[in-house]
Amino acid sequence: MKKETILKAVNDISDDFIAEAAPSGWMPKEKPAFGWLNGKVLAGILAAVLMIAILPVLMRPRRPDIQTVTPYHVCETIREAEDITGFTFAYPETYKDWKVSQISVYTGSMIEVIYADADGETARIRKAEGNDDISGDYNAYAQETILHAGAREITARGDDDSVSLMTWSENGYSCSVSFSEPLSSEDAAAFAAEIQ
Amino acid sequence: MEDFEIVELYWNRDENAITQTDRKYGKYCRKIAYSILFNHEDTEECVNDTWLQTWNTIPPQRPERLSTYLGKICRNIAINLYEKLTAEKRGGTETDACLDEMAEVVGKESDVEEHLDLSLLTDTINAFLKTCEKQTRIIFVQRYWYMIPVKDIARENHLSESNVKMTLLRTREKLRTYLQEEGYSV
Repeated sequence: MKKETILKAVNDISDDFIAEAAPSGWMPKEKPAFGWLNGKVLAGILAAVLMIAILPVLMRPRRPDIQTVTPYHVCETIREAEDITGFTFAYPETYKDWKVSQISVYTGSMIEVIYADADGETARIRKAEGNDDISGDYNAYAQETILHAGAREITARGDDDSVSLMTWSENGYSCSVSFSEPLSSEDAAAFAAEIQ
Repeated sequence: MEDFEIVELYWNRDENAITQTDRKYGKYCRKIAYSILFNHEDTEECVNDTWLQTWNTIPPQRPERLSTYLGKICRNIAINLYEKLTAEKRGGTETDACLDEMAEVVGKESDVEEHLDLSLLTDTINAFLKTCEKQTRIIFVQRYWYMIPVKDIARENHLSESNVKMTLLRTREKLRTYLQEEGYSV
C-alpha cells in the first residue's frame, strides 16, 4: 500500500469525526437548523401538519399534483405576514439602493424580510416572539460588540471592524439582521434603529 | 443562511448558491486547502474548483451535512493538486510530514500500483476510529484529515506537543495492527 493511498482513504471518513475534530474557528458554529423552534413554533408546525392532512380531504384536485411542502409562506404584503404571526413588524422600505424583495413567514411564527439590489440579496431581517437567536447565521466572527440604537442594545458580530450580523431582544421579541456585505457600525446601528 | 436553504439554491440552479456557500464555508474550505497546499494562489484555485464540483454534484446529491460535504471535496481536490504540483519536488510542508508519518502505517511501499478499494479502506479506518477514545480520534483527524501542525493540535487540545506526538505515534501503530488484522498488507 502507498502512503498516499491511506491519506486519500482518510478523506471520506465519517462526517461526525470530521465535524467533531474541526479546529476552533474554522467551521461556522453548529446549531440546530431550527434553533428558533419553541413551543409556539412547534404548535404552529403541528397546526400546519394537521392542515396538510386535512386539505386533501377538503379539496379534490382535478389532477394529481406533486407539491413540495415548505416550512415558510411567502407573503404579498407585510400586513399578510402580521396577520399570520399576530405581531407587527416595521422596517425601512428601502436602504441605499436596496429594496424589499421578499416577505416570508416561517412556521407561522417568524417574519423574514429580504432586501436585494441589482446584484442580489443584500440583507435579511427576522422577527419572532421570544429571546432566542433567530438569525440562522452560524458563522464564527472575529469581533462581537454592543451597539446602541436609542435604548436598544444590539449584539453586533463581524470581522475587520464591520458588522455582518446584529441580534437583539426587546419587549418579548427577538430580531436579527444579517448583511451579505458587511456595513460600518454606524450604518448598521442606523439601519437597526428603523426596525420595530 | 441555513444549510438547507443553500442546498435548495443549488437544486433550483440559483447561482447565489455559490455566493452563499463561499460566505458561510469559504473560510473553512480555505483553511483546509491552505493546510495542504501552503500557497494562497493554489488555495483559491482549489476553493473555486470546490464550488464548481459542488455545483455539478448538487443535484443529484442532497448532502445532510453541507460543511463536511464541502470539506471532503476541497480536501480531495487539494491533495490531487498537491500531487500534481509536487510530482518532482517535495519536502518541507505539513502534507509531506503527514505523508511521512503515514509511511509508518503502510510499512514498505509496494512499487506496483495496487487495485485497492478505497471505500473499503475508508470503512476500515472508520471502524478503527470508532474504537479510539474521543480525544485520540480528534487528534488523529486533526493531523491526518485537517493536516494541521502538531503544535496547533497541542494548543487546540490543551496538551503538550510531546503528548500529541506520542498519541499520534501510538494511534498509527494501532492503525497498522488493525489494518493487518483486517487483511491489508502493510
